[in-house]
Amino acid sequence: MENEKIVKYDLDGYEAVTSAIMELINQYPEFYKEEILFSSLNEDGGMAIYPITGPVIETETKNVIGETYQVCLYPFVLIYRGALRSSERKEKIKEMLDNIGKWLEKQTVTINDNDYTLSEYPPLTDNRKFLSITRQSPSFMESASDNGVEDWVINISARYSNEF
Amino acid sequence: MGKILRGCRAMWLTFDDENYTCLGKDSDDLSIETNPDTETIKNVQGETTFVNNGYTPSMSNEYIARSEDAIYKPLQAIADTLAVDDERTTATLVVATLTEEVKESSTKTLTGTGFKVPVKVVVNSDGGGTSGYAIPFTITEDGARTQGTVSVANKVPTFTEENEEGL
Repeated sequence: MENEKIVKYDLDGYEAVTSAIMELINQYPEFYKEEILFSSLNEDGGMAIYPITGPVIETETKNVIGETYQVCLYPFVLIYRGALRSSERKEKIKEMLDNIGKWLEKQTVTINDNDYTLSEYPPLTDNRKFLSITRQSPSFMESASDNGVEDWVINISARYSNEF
Repeated sequence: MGKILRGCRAMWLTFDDENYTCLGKDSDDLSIETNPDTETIKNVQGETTFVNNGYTPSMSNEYIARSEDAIYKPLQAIADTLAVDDERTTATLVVATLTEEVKESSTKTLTGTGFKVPVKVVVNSDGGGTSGYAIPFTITEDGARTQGTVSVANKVPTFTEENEEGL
């Protein structure tokens, strides 16, 4: 009989990491007119982040001093919902989502002929620190409703450390 | 009661007897190899005698450099200059078994018994992988161990030598 791997979560870090990600992603240079919300989308449009799971403890090691070092993974999906009537509009939304992903990876993105680079991740509370934020997929259309409203999504994962 | 946690056996290294670094932050296994020199002799009468000629303790540490560590700059100097002189390669090792894991000393004072011993430091390599800049080193005891008690606050030890009566 195979031993099932037990999945453990950093439950205490969930709120702190979520707040930091929300604050960070709303700093994206192009977002000057609408706020990205948390797990909340209107039927006809908006942008929101939805966590896929809570923060999963990927690895956990203990040193000889007695300190524990965890690497945790916080996967989430960024959704743009809207009525995209033209192919050009869809291309723009796809490009925007992909650029958000690149920007979160600390890559340089060009918006309206200006270059933007995220220099550092925000601090987390306690002994937690962001290690990386990376795209897990390119952006794509996940669903379309009868009234023409489409959901475009990109999967992103934040990796952070926790020492105690 | 029960087994003693590994974090209770704490080890510090200092190059100036004032600023200490608690060893093992990046290690899940760190030991002093006692290197005993022993032999078993059988005489012509069939009797077996075991002889222990003593120990030559040493310890190898896969040290990941941290700028805030007191031992970082002296180790960097040895690595940069390949120093072999006593002035730059002499240090002091303090070892103690504490009442709790040494990480708890950030919030309370811990006590324990152990020893202090002069050591010589040799850098084994310089660089390492992508997890962090590594300066692995080996220390070899270079003198007699002084027994005593240790008080620890914020992972910094204060060593008190045991008197002749063992108090």
